[in-house]
Amino acid sequence: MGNVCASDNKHSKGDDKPSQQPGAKPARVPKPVDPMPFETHFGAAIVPASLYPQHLRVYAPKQPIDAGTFEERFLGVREVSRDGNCFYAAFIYGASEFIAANPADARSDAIVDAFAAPTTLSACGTA
Amino acid sequence: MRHRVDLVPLFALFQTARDGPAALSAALPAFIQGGLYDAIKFLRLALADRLRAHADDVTPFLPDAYAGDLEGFLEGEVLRMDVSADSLQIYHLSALFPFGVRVTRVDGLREESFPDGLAPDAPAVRLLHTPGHFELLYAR
Repeated sequence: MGNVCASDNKHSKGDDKPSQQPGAKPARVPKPVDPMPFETHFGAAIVPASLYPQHLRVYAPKQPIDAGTFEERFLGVREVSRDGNCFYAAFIYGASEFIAANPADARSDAIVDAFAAPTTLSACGTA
Repeated sequence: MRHRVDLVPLFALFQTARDGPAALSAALPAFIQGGLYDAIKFLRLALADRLRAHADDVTPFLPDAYAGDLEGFLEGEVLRMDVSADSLQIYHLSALFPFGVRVTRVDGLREESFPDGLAPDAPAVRLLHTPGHFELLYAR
């Protein structure tokens, strides 16, 4: 399994940096901004299974996909940002969706409790 | 090293989610702007802690590039905010939370469950693994 989902955030090395004159003030470091606005962290809508194979060709032109079986088994796909955090973001999104679909289920409480577990929090030094 | 992450927005999202899918959708933009990266960082830290606690079990399965160097693996593959997860991370993260993961590989559409033997009705996120990337997948 490949483990990088940041392929669209590459920058050229060095050649886009302005030269700095001796004695000049260091360039102001701009405040970090989120490079991925809402729509690209999680797709606003589910891409229907009937369209997904075509969609996939944009990102992975050589990747084979059995379009018929895919459409038969799945409703569709919600895109997740290709910023390297795709798995973790999807995990959080999935947990939230489960709670939304099962608000009174004890397992929803268990999920929330796990994120708040004191052992985990202290181990991480989490505030 | 101590890390500080703010989980208040995540818990607010969970609380809002109890009002249903529409409420969740409405709350997501604010969460993404103000809490998503902290929540991701929290998962990475919790996972790193879990892997350290199970070092004897984990170390033999590290990728060749890390050959027994668990701390190097954590620094390069778990705690870095721009590197996604592989089977080792998915297995241990799903063991840490009462929430499983079902991964369908786009090539062949075969499914793998984390942890092994995940019950069919267990809470889980379903993911489609495409080369180097995961998307959320919805079954019929």
